[in-house]
Amino acid sequence: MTMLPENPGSKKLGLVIDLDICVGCHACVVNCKEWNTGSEGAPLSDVNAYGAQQTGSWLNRIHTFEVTTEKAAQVVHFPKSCLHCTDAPCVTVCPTGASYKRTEDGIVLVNEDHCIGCGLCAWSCPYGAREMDPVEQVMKKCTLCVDRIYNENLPEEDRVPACVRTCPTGARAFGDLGDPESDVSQMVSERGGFDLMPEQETSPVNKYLPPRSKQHLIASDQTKGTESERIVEKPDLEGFWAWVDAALEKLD
Amino acid sequence: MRPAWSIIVFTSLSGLGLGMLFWFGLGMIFFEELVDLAIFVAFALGAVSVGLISSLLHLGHPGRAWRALSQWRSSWLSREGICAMFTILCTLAYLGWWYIDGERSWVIGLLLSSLSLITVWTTAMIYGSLKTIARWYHPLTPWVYLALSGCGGLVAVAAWEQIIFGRATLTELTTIGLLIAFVVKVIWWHRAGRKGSGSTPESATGLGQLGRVDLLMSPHTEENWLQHEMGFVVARRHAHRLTQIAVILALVFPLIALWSEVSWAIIVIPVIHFAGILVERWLFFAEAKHVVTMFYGDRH
Repeated sequence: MTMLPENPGSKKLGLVIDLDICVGCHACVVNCKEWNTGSEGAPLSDVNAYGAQQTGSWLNRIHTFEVTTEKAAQVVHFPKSCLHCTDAPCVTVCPTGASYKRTEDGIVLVNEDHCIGCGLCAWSCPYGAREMDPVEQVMKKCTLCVDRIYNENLPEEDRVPACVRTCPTGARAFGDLGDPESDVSQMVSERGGFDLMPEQETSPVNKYLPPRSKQHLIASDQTKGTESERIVEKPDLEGFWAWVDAALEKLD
Repeated sequence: MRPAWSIIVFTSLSGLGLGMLFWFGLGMIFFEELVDLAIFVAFALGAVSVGLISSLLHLGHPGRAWRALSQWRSSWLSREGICAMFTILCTLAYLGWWYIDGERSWVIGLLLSSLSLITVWTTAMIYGSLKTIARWYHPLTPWVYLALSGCGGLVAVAAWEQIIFGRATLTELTTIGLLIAFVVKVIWWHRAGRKGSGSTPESATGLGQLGRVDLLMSPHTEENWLQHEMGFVVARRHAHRLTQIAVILALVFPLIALWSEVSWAIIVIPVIHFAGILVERWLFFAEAKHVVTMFYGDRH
């Protein structure tokens, strides 16, 4: 049924992504593909994977942005997957009922056996969270690793989404964002977590934590002089490095 | 958005057929033998059916298309499918009654006209309900579809009358229809066509407080499905010339030909008009920009 749940439960499972920590290593992207290509449903296919113009379906992507002001620039790595929106437009546009939002935990899923591959849900999603599988011709999206988080056959520490489990820097947190006392909710309120494209009125469950502004660091660094000035400066060295410096100068 | 031929043909051809059925329901089809009527209906239903079949070709799994009739409570695409089915059934009932009773039933006729209008409305709302595409998400979008469908039907009915009877009594009405469609579409181009999404790379990423946001590295080296489907840019630079071509073919040529003294002109009008509608529909899709392109460094 593609109506949104009439009486949704208070549980809203989702991710909190810390843009201050993410280093853009793409490990979450790779582990997401690895786990989900072997999970229920069709594998996440790749077409022409080792040739030119390769394509394939992925459920998690990392964009890298440059944020600039007049004085300085800062790089922000930006992981993006389904935000499991409370008012998910991808659910209500689906003509077959394949796309649905679970009442018990708010996870948005696709029943691939019912999906006709019309693509309308992807058109309705402002975040680009859904991709048509090039081989299977059904819509693929993040399942919040629903086959891991409740899986009692896995050790307890593995019962989190693959992207969260694999992140080497701890930039991704998983939890119940419907519970104000949960760790993830606390992180959001303490760090000023925000929604993506609030003007699209989708009420995303996933939140993003802002990167600290690094521009004051850059500004104070600039008072020391330009790169070329710093190079000609007489370096303040001691011991071995002072000897290396002196030796190199003799060679000139 | 990628202007796929399957959906261009779907919206334009089913729009034309439904427009013909609208005037048929109002009893505006001239005929001497019932067989003339049946041929007209065959053309109209043929257009609707080919349009619907074309929409099936757009699907990844056409065999499961019947499932699309199930979610009418929330999905405009589902509503479109159901309304189209009812319109086809109503057409057959209307024609059957006419054949058996010898007189047309104005009640079924009125129902058919209403269903035709509603079906065109639902077609338009598949696109008009998508908030992610600012150009389509405008109250005028369904009115454009209605006006062009009604005027396409009228042009076809006028040509039919000329072919069967060699006379033209619908010239004034067709002129009014073409002018209304022209005005509605031009207003849409000015209002909806210039409407921005209100989203920016800054609002998309939430990084606006830090400064201006530009894409430094794409998540993938090659174009992915999202960009292929929603980042269509080819020939957008020809949009202005194509807009002129659409207006000339769909509206200006038919108006001139209608009032020319050339008797056969009216027969080519539907063909030229429909060619113009195809160009209009191509632009409708090709010019539409999706907000997801903000994540790929687009700014509009």
